[in-house]
Amino acid sequence: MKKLILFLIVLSASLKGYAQSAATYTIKGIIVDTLNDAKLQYASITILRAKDSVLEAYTRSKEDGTFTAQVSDEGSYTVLVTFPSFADYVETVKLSPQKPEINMGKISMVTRAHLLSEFVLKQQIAAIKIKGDTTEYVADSFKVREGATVEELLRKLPGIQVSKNGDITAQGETVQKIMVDGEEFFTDDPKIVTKSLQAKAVDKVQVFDKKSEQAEFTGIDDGVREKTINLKLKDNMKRGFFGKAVAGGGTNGFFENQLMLNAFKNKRQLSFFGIAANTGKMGLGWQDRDKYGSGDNMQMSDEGYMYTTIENDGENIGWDGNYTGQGLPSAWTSGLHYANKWLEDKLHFSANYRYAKQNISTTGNTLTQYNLDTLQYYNDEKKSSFNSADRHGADVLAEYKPDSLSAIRFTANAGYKKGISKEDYISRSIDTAGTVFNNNERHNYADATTQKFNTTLSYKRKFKKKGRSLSAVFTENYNHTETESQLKSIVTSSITGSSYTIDQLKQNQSENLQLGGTLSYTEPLSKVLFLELNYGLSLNNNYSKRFSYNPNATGDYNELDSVYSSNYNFDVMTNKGGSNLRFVFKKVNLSFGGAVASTDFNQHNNFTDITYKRNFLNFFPSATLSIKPRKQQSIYFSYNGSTQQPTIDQIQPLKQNTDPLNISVGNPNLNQKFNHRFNLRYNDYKVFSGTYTYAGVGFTFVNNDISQAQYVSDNFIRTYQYVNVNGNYNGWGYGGWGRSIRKLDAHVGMNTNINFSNYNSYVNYIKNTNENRSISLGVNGSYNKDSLCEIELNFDVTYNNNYASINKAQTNYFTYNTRVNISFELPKKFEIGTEVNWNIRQKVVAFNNNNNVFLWNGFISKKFLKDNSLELKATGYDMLNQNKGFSRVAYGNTITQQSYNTIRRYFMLSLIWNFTKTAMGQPQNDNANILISN
Amino acid sequence: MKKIILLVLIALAAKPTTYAQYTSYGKIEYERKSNMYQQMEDMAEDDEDERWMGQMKSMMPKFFLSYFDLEFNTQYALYKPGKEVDNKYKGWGTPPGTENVVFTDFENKTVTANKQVYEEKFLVQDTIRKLTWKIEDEIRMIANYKCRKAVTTMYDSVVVVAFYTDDIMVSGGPELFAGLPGMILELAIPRLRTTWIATKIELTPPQPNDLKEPTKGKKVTNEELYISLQKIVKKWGKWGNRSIWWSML
Repeated sequence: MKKLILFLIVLSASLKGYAQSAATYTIKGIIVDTLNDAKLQYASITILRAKDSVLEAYTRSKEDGTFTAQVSDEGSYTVLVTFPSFADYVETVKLSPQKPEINMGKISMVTRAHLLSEFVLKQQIAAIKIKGDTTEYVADSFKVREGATVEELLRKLPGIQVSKNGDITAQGETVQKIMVDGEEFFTDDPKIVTKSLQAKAVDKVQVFDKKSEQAEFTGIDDGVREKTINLKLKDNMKRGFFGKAVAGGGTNGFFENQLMLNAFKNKRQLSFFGIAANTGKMGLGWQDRDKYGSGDNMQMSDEGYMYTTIENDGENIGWDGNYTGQGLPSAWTSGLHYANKWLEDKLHFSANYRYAKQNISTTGNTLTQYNLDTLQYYNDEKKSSFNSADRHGADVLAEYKPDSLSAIRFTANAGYKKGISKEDYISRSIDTAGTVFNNNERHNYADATTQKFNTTLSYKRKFKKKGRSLSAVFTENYNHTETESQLKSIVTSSITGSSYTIDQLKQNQSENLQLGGTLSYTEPLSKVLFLELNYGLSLNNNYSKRFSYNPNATGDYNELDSVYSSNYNFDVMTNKGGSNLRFVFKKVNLSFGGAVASTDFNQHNNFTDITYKRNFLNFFPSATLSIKPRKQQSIYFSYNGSTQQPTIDQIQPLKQNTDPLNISVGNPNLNQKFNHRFNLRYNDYKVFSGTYTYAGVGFTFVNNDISQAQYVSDNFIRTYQYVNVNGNYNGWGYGGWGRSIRKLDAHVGMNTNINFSNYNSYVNYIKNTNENRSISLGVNGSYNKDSLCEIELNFDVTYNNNYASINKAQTNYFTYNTRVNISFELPKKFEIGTEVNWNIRQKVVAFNNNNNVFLWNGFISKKFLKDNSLELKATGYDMLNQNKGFSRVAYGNTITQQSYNTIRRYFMLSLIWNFTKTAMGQPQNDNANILISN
Repeated sequence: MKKIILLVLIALAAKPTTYAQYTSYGKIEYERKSNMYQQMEDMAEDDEDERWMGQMKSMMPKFFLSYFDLEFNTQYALYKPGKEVDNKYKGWGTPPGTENVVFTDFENKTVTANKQVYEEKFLVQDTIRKLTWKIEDEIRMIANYKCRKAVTTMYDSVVVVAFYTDDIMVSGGPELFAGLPGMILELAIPRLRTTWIATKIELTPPQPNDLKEPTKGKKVTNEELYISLQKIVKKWGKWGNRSIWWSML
């Protein structure tokens, strides 16, 4: 009978297994409290696979204390029974096809006994510090062999024992937790951290009784203690240097040499760079700036965006360190940078010094068309110039963040520039028939020195109350320029044959001091509403002395020419106070408010001793709205009003004869202008489809815009003055769309730009409205196959339209720009690449010379050494010798076209060496990563 | 006297529920804590990245904290964002998953989860995730509950450490983690440098309206979400896999 039952059970079990291959093995039992002989309900029964403790099943006991748990496979299982305030019950059972069900019967639970024992071993050794309840060992004081693990180190520490199987006992108690820099889960398995981490990486071993999580969070001590070891790691003890050396020589005397070095030790950085080139390379590119320059200047805005400010080594230098201006540049640039951090990175200091010598020689031709009411005429000017300047610059940055709520930041920079310029011009005024009216030949040699000194000091403080903050910012800018120039000029009228000469020595001195302080405070009015209050005082003091001397009979330049001289002060003081209300919701951020400013102009003519005072009272409304409907999508709108003061050059009552065919006269009655700016933009990026869309429109309306009034005499001598006009505006729009085609490793996109402006000026007492419009469309595509092959294509077309109301002249033209960039990685560490930049500019009636440029560059390189650190590169720039410097601008009643010399064809061979030597203090985090990858 | 003692013993025996200190409903607040510095270090591909990270570190706090509430009874559980805290990590710097909502139906063994993955809001509908948990003998007290350690590995290499308590009779936990004999009160994913720890437990029964299943979003299963994410992270370097793990929590 028994056999039959067993057979039936086996049969049913196997049938069941066949049907759904689910639980066929059963463990049963009944949970009781021994002492009270009561059945325990809701006891937790956990079934683990005995061999590896994998959770197989779990259940709870019923009201009568019984339970039934099912598992799907035969084998040994650990049954774990727990019940609050009872000791855990553990038993191993074996299930087999012969014994598919086990009834464990009555499982008796016993109440837990508490054994409290505390044994504190106190031992005073120099290398051991006892701070409160923490015992701290200085790791380096205990000698261990090279490459020893933390476990070996622990064995050496008095009061700590490590058993054969790695269990650690400290001060007589088993260590429950081992943390690394306060992190328990520093690696996947905290237990083996002592076996995997190198002893060398450890700075201090701290042993303490950690309060339970509960006690830490609530602050209520529940008396529970866990013996804990914290391994405090050394700071990333890196020490070493890296750098780059480039030596390049080319045809036609071209050269480009660079040397960069950064030596670092922990947080201290000392770097140097030097560049000598006549290829347009005049400074560090943004990537090298981070490594060798003052790249540690990054700041974060309140919105969480990072930004950095760049100090340039001169004018016309782009973000890539290349020259963007006219002519042929040669430059020798060098810099030194020091940075360090102290007090656990709370104090940061950096300092820079830079020196640059820059020579630029330019030859060019400027053709300007002037539209007058009844006629047009041209000015044709040939220019040849040489500029040379020595620049010294130094800056420091100190930042102290005593806690997470406050920060003090100080920056200062000083600069000194001494330069000379030699300029020679030949210019003519021509009418549409080609008749020459005036000829001017002039030479201007100048020496100039500029000194500047700027500082900022800011203090920012946040408070415990969310949203409350205070900030105070003080800025100072000082600039002093002295120029001495010799002007020799002869003007000949072709009509009358008469001529006159200008032979003057000009001594100019200008000084500008700006001091400003702003104070702002934000107070939360509710969870979503904040009030911002701000007040600022700024002073902007200008002094300009411009003296022109004519020679006396003996040739000494000591006769002051009062027509072309002036000594003038222009001081502006602004008091501005305002407030804003800001609503902060999860997806919508709205702020609006306004400010009132009182601006005082104090103009003083030191020749006549006449003071002219004015006061302007302005209201500045402002509003911004930003909406983030979902991630990576944003809409932003803003409006603000702002004033802009005239410059002293525009306001100083001075007649300037440096260009006798274009004479400027200052206007002391000039008012400040007021801008109303509207801005709307949209951004969207979809990660799943790799699609981006962006668009924006903007509009600026200007009251009292600073424009020109000009008077052109019958013989085409132009005199102009800055005047205030109304009705000026400009607007723009842009948009783009692109998406990646993942299957093809490609990306396609398109974009558009629209600009329009309305600019009023006066020409011979007649109001001229100049309307400018341009629209451009572009398409782009790229292909990138695992960086083995990269192809980029860009094409855009722009239509320009310019209309001058004074003579109803229309100027329309198209420009086309095509860019192609291809590079391949070839076998044997060869790389080849080429780039074409093709500009086509439609001719306009006034200027019918060919301005198209087909610029074709290429390179081939090979890398050497195991780590590819040495590279030999052959570069060809403008291989077809087609490059031209060119620009065309329509402004007011003029259209100006400039052509100038620029770098043309050269071939260069360069040797590039990227060197690095890092002596790793210890492997610290790398070690942890190795552990994870195992 | 003996009689009285006997009486007391009988009285105790007759009321076995007096020592059943079990929790079957309530609200748990979890603090999610990510070590951002370590995450940045993990992400650095080369020395240049490391220098940049160094600058980031000097401006950002070490930890990113967020809170989640888990309301539960023996039938359902709802995990959703809890109290808000101000922090400096904004915009692109915010770690993923701060808006996750997970509804678990213990009777039907199903989950419905709302996950904002980049621009897409997903409604993950699936069965309760089955993981191979290894139970260890380490015990620790969390919020006055005795918790036992369990360890599992996801996606071949991502180790997940959980501390669960038998004293809460609901097999739930933060995110999609469930299936242990009791409630998970601490969860750690070392690879993501992130832990979830119960900081507060309120023994109040959830109102029927509190435990609502999310309905909005693009319907997918866990498997489908995993496959679509793998397609987009192909060229993302070290961030690629991490982005998937964060999305699949």
